[in-house]
Amino acid sequence: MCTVKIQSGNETTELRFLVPTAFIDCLLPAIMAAVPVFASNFLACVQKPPPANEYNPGTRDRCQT
Amino acid sequence: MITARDQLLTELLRNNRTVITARIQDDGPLAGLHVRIRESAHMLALNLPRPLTNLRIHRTYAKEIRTLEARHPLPSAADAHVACQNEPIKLGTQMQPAGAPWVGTAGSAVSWLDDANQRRFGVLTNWHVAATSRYQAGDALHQPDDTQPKFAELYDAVAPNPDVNCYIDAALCDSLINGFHTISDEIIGLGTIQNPPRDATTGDDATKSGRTTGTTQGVCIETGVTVRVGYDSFEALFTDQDVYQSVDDDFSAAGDSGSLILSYPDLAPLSLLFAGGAGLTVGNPRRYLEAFRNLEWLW
Repeated sequence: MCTVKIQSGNETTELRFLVPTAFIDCLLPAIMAAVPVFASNFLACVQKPPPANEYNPGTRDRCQT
Repeated sequence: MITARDQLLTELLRNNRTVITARIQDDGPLAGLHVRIRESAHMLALNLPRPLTNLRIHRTYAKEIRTLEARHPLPSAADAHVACQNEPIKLGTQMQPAGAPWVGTAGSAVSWLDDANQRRFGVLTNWHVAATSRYQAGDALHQPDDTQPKFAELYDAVAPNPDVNCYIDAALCDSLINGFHTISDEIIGLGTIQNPPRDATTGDDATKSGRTTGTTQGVCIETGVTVRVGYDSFEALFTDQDVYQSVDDDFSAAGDSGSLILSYPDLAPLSLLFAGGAGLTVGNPRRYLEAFRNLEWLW
């Protein structure tokens, strides 16, 4: 669902989360606390679009109260 | 060469008062003409095509058939079918175009070929639910109503034409929103399709999941039916349709338009529910739907 790329020196680590992208904003503080050495090197949270011709159901919250 | 079927259809198109449905069985030369009429038996002579008036009339009914969208005041419905859903949205749920004074059912998950021959994924429902003459491709569609964010955009539709024979009343709604599809391949109360689509046959047990009556069971009482269907401002003649009747309570009601009718209990797609009345429900056969942009069912 969402990939967080973390760079340390020449190494790039990808953490993949099976949660809606909207949740990543909430999770980022926890991620950064868990991996403080990488915290300053956080690059991006990328929502990957589905490949063409592939059914890819989302899990996003959409209901407004 | 003008066939008996052509003559009958011509007559049905001309006659807008008495004949509701009619069927020619292909089991002999004119032997199986099957006509349903709204009025009493003595009207038959006036309304049947003249070359065919010597044929035996099998049954007569007094039915009004019209489309099954729901308008205000909306009929009550089971909570599961009208509640707002987070993704992925299960089908058999209420949907509404932005600003429309009606609601219908987002019936089933399908894919189809776009103009670039790429497959798209979304919802199959009726033209009179998602499109009508008010809306065009790209317009927003909402679940369960337009107080909630859009879940799809109108992609393409086949509109009924009052001047020709019609086969489907269908709309394709693209569910790709910001990179992900909003819908599930599950149907509320039924789960996923379990078997490949097949043509309905008389006597088939059937089920559907729709906005107003929820999950219900019925039986296919006739196929190959020609039926005149009432829309808001016109009537259209549909040919080769599947007709269902309830087993217990109503099989369908206003608001259920767009539901997928499946065989029961093996859950194979049969028809797209689009009209009904007085205990009858009419569906577009799956074979005509599958000819629309090479439609395939998700399962």
